[in-house]
Amino acid sequence: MNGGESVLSALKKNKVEVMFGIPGGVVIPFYDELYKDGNFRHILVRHEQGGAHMAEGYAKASGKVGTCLGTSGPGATNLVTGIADAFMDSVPIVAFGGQVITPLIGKDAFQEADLMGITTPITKHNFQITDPNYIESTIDAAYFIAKTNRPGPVYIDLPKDVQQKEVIKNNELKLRGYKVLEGFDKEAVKKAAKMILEAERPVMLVGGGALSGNCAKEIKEIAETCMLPVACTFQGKGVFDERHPLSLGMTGMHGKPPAVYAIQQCDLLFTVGIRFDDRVTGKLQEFAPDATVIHIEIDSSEIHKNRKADLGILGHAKEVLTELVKIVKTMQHKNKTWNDKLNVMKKEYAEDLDLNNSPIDPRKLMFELQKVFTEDTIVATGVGEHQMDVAHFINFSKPRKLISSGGLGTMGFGLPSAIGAKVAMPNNEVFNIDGDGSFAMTLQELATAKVNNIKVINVIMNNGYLGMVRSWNDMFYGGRRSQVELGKVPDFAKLAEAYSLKGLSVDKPGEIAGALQEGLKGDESIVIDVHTKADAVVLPIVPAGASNSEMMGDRISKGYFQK
Amino acid sequence: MGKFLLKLIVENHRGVMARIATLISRKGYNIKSASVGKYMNKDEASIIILIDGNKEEIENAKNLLGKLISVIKVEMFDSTDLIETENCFVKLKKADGIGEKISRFDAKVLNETDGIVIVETRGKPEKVLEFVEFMKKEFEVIDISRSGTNAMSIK
Repeated sequence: MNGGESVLSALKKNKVEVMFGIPGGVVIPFYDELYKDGNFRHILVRHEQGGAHMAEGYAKASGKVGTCLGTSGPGATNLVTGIADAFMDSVPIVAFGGQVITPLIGKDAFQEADLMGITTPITKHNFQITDPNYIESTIDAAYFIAKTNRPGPVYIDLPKDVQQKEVIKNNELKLRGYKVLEGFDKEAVKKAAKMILEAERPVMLVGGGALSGNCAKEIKEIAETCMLPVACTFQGKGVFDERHPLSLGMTGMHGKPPAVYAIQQCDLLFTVGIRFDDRVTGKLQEFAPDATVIHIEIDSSEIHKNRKADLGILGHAKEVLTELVKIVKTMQHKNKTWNDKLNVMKKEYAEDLDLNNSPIDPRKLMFELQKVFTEDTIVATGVGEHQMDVAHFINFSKPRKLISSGGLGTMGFGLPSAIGAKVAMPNNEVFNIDGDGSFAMTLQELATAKVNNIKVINVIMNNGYLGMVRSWNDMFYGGRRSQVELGKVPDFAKLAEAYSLKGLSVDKPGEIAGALQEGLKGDESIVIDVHTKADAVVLPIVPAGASNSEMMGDRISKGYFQK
Repeated sequence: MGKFLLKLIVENHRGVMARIATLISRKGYNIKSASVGKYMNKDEASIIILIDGNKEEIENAKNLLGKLISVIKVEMFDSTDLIETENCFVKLKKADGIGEKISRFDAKVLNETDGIVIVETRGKPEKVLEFVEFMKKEFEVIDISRSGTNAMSIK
């Protein structure tokens, strides 16, 4: 067995179902084995960044590890954006990069780049395989590291000659510095239960860690048993059904005002798998000022990193919460007044806006989308205004249904991650809600969708601008719209046709529903280009660096946060 | 603010120092000194890092370093619990009365070649610094090599 065959057999051993990649000079030996084997699914993508985001979409939707590959040099550097994105959002992927033959490493050979150096700060770990006898054990280790503890990306550098050489025997690779976290402090959980019981204004806040910890069931049990109102971060959307009476929805910069209010006013903030990101906390010193904080976390370096926790519990969220459920079931809650107050605020903020004017208001598009989304619809997004509209207006009822780039904020994430999600979950309807600027960054993957017959319903909120920056120009920079006007180019409906896919253009609010139905009916990808108001602003908003209590919005009255 | 010792036991592989340096520079920690050597087994190395900061910040550094897959163990110690020693060579132009002048330091002449003298001292980092300042004032110093601080917790 040569190295290339060994890579392939290790992928199969690790139950890899699909790889998103592009061949190139130094990975031809591996691709040759792939050809000869003929029994491994590889999706040929059009740009390595697309491949990396597909691996992420696959991982986010399924909970499995995603896999992507690029050749050495530019192939691998193109993967870097996706790897960095996966690192910020704790997405388990294994990214392979080709590398020049080992004697040429460091000699500035053709298509050589130091991907070990480049990926060190943006991976959970990286490996360069210089001995074919370590291929299998290294790939085993990569998948193990990617999916255990706090998930994250692992990069493997694969020199050409290592793929060509014979494997004599598979040597063991020891991971002496890595252990799967086991157990938790049971006394601390008892203490947490007591704190929840004693709180008058408790709020539970769940994040991406709760999602990857697969503990939606436990969270629901705790919330219902203790009558805890539940807010979520952007990455936590869907962990707790947003239509549930106890749900406050998403908090943060573009969160629901009642959720932001509840956190600012609470006396106990019970958090699961969040990292107190600045988009969640606003000005850190003024975040939840009266709250005692409980922080359940799998990553020790996150506890006390931004907000000091009064009680940090290191452990797997699912295990910790299972224990907590047992304890709280024996307790009485006493926060009725608080819940009643929040319910009134939620009712006041309910979205019953009548928006039937042309040009189309982005919120109208969101309401129409919500009507066609079921609890199993997977929604990927790009990054920008449309993304925050989805985050604010679309309710998710199940985990792993919103696929979006939160931490890194990678424009162009939508289409490829939607493709990856569809590959993982072929029976779910998959949408990509994108902006015109964001979509244009990776639209070449329409070819991947077409050729591989992967259905994604692309809905572009097309306002002809880099809308998020434009709205900040308008709100915070005196209306000076600096380099944000894209113009209505290209015609995305015609562009879809160029990829032999259907394209629709929508100009009036009344046309949206019909276009969406057409997308749902078809069995191929479609691009629905929705021309929206050019000067819409995403509201509400907490200005960057301000306290969450300074949230601005057309429906936030003066003194809202002092109620 | 305070001074802390981080003692890392790491896998003795290529690139491990780069991982640690990358993390430290990314997080902006203020390293005072670092020294590296083999540990008990040949495939292990120890890294002694003296670092300034407040306790919470250094605890976070410890947790982050502990997450690195190549790091086998990290321990953090308060500066009050430490024995510290540094070694330092000073190269200078030969001059009269070197032996006499350095006698108040724990220092000795190690080598003398073609009018160039190498003097060695060892001791607490503050003492070494004082020695270096003294040598610069008294002699024509050509080069200095400091080892970085070696430290061990007394507990």
